Amino acid sequence: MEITPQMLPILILIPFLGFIFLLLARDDTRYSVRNIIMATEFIICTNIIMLGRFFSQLDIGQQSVQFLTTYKLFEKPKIELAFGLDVFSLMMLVAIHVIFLISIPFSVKKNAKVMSCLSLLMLGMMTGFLVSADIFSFYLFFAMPLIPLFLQIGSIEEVRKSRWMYRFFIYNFIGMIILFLCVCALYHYQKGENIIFLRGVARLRLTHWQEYWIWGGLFVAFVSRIPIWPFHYWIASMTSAIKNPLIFIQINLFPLTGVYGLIRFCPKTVPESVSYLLIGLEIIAAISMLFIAMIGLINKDNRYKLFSFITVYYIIYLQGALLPTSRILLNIGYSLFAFLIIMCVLELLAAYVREEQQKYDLHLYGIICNTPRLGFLYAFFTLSAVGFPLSALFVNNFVILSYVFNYNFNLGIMMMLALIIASASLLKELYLLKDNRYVQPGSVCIMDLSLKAFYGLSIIAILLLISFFNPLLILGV
Amino acid sequence: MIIHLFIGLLILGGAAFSYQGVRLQKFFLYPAILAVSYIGWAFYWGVTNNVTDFYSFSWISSKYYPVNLDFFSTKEVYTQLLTFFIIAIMVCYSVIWNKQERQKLNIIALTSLNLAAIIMLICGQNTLQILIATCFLDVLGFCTINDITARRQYIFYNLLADLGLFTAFAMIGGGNAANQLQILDNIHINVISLFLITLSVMLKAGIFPFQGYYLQMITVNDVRRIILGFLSTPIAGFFILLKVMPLIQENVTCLYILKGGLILSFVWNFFASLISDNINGKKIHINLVFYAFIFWVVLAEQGQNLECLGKILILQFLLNNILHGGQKYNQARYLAVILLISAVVLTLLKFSQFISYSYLGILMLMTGSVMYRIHQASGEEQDVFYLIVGGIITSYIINEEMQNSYLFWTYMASFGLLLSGFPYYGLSGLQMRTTTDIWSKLLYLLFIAPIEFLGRILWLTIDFIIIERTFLNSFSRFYIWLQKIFAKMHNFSIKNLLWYWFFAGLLLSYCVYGEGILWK
Repeated sequence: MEITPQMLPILILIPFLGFIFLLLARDDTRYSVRNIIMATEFIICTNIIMLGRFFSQLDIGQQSVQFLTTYKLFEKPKIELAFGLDVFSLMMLVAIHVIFLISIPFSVKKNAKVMSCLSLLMLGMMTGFLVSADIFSFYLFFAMPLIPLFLQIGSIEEVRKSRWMYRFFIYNFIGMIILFLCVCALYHYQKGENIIFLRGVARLRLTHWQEYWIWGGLFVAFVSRIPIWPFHYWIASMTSAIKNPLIFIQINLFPLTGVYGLIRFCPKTVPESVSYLLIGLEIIAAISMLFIAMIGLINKDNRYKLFSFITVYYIIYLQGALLPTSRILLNIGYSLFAFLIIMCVLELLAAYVREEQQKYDLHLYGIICNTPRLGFLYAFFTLSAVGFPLSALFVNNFVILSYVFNYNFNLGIMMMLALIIASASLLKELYLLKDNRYVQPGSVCIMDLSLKAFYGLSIIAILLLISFFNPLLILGV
Repeated sequence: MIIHLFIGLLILGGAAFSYQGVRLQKFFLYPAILAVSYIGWAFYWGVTNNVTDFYSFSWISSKYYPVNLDFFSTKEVYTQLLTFFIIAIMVCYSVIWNKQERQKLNIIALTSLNLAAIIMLICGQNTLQILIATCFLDVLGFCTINDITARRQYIFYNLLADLGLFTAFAMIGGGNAANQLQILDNIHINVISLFLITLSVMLKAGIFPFQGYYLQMITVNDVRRIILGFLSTPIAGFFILLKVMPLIQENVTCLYILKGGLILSFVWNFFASLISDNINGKKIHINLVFYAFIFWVVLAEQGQNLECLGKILILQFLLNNILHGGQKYNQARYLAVILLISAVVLTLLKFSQFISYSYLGILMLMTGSVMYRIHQASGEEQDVFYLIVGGIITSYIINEEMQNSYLFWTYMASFGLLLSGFPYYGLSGLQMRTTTDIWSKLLYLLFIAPIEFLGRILWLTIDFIIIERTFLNSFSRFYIWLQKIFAKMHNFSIKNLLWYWFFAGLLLSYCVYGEGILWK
């Protein structure tokens, strides 16, 4: 089958069709729950195959958007939507699909139908976000993932009455409104074109004050999604309250939309009059990174520790994206690819441990001592996360940090400090779980991972090891 | 040639690692030993036939930051590798009869993979290859340690060392857009990066004050401790030091830090080896003194003419095995005889070029202290006699061989001290617990505790007081206030009507007189 640019929206449509298909399914018996999970996995696999086909025809050496296709949305006012792909967005797409593929069998237990439907909706919207090439489609898919996530948190996590939802709503609503105003303003000032491509935003001719407000607004809108002070609080609060790993992972995919937005709007060509805003953003980001890493170290909740690790990495990618060079864009992409998968597996394993701990009413100390399969995978993914050469994180982070050091030495030092503290925090957690001094012989132990889960996650570990040499090898390029 | 050996070792290591069971171990053990022997023979064949070749794998072909993985066979590489091949093969053979170690295949796997990582490290011509080989050795070291406390300390220290190296090499790479070692001599290197490299090397080799994690290894069994000591992180530290020697020599502060650490390491571990009650602890201290010694030699010789260090390394490895054997069979008597033979071998190999008399004396004294402790544990009264005889004969033969009276008196003085009971009885009265890791506690108090304290303060002030209590509460109250106003507007009364007109007026005045975004 020949892949054409017009087939790009199919990537968004497949999860939507899956969503509608699953809405009609029964979920009253154990078998139907299993069928729902299998159908969800099948839909995700179909999309992954499609992505593979796109990858096979992509020109890797080219950094610009490929497979560009446009669709007329309205006649009056004239608005067209554009979709396209490049290596970076395609890698993010593959990573997100893999994340959903491995998370769903681990996470979907209760409310299988609702959970699977909303996850597919979320996947479709994230796909739309990553393939959007103009400001309207970008805004649409920037805002829309909030709906399935909001519904999942409200209906499955049962935190409706708590203040977490309130925070979630306030922060995201502020970001969404600001981006909407910026998009309206950009549309108003464009010179009679039907499409404003994302790369073209920086080329629009604006007055000093217009630039100031629009770029300032764009920065605030994207930063509202990244856990940078004072916007970190909603994700920090949510991650501590969420029990379901799939929802945790989806929440922690939100900062990716902020980082990706900043990369796509290309701050390298930001007008000079607002370049000082970038410096301010860099400073706040660096301080936030250290601050969250330190809180992660002292916090006893392993979800917060994981959140602090995730935040530190997202801010590293943000700082890399803000550098006045496009040379490391692919390195950021490779590193993000491995990071997203590691983050997902670590959360799945941590959630499994939490669940087993509650089931047997045990203490966390030494809980995985007698579970060799779980212990091995936990150690492998933790060591990969802290930066040992077991995945694409290692080399690509090295290159990103080299460029950061070259650009701003103090910023590089702060990043390294935050990285060390976040890594130490994760290792501390690992050894708390493996500390056998607290385990009495003959005492009750948790169940080890099933062989099926072990082999599944081992395949992911092998993929990560291959990504250490070249992440594109995994994708068959 | 070297690349074939590297791949062979990786395949052997991977295959042996994949079987974690015990039941069919013997079935796989002998083929694995045969494979190790074959690789050893291939290496020997390469050395004797002087095979030279070069293989470079273009790993990252980016035009901005290209990275190659280099594997080349030269005389220098062969010389450096020979020692580790000998040690690796001896470890693999010794594991066949070792009843203490249950997972024999696992040991062969770890040895092969460690050897492969050492090949990668020695052949490394760029900072990334060195970094990867070092981290690879660390991960293998992590797998080698089978005690949770030792493992935790080990990985924390080595993670710090790796991230230090990572930062230093990233600084060098970023500042100079270079990762090749050859050109590092000619470019300006940041002092902080040199400082970080020095600290990382000290961490890797357990040089004072970073010996804490080695001391935790008293619970790890001997074979694994030998792999960790002779095929793992200290060796990585040693080769990193060799490779960055020209850089470190440029900076006097780094040199002083390293030399100061080495002297303190030497003194601290020497006394600790004498007064420690634990035999394994004593052996670890001996090795730490040895690392300090070889690092000192590298600094003194400025990284040149180090061919004999390989032989000294083998000798130290043998000494470890001898002490292990003595401890295992609870026999100081055999130990004295074996020590005698090893001393003769030592003399015949004429290592005097590097081994100073004082070091030999110290080594003998420390070894004697271990033997004495083993003798005590065995409960045999007469064994000390063999020790005296062994010592005198050894000293005499060495003296005859070397024709050097200083050496004779050095040995005599060490044995004299040993026999007088001074090392054991004299100092153990201090009741000093050398296994207590005061330096780790100090590092915790100085570095980690302040960070944790700051973290708590930040959480309390920023997250709780500023965001939770101030920002969110204000927003919430503002929202309630707005709700009240809108509710009032909808209740018809003169007062509410005034409010309504007031807001409408504000909005209108902005649209007419203000310069909003949409009213340009």
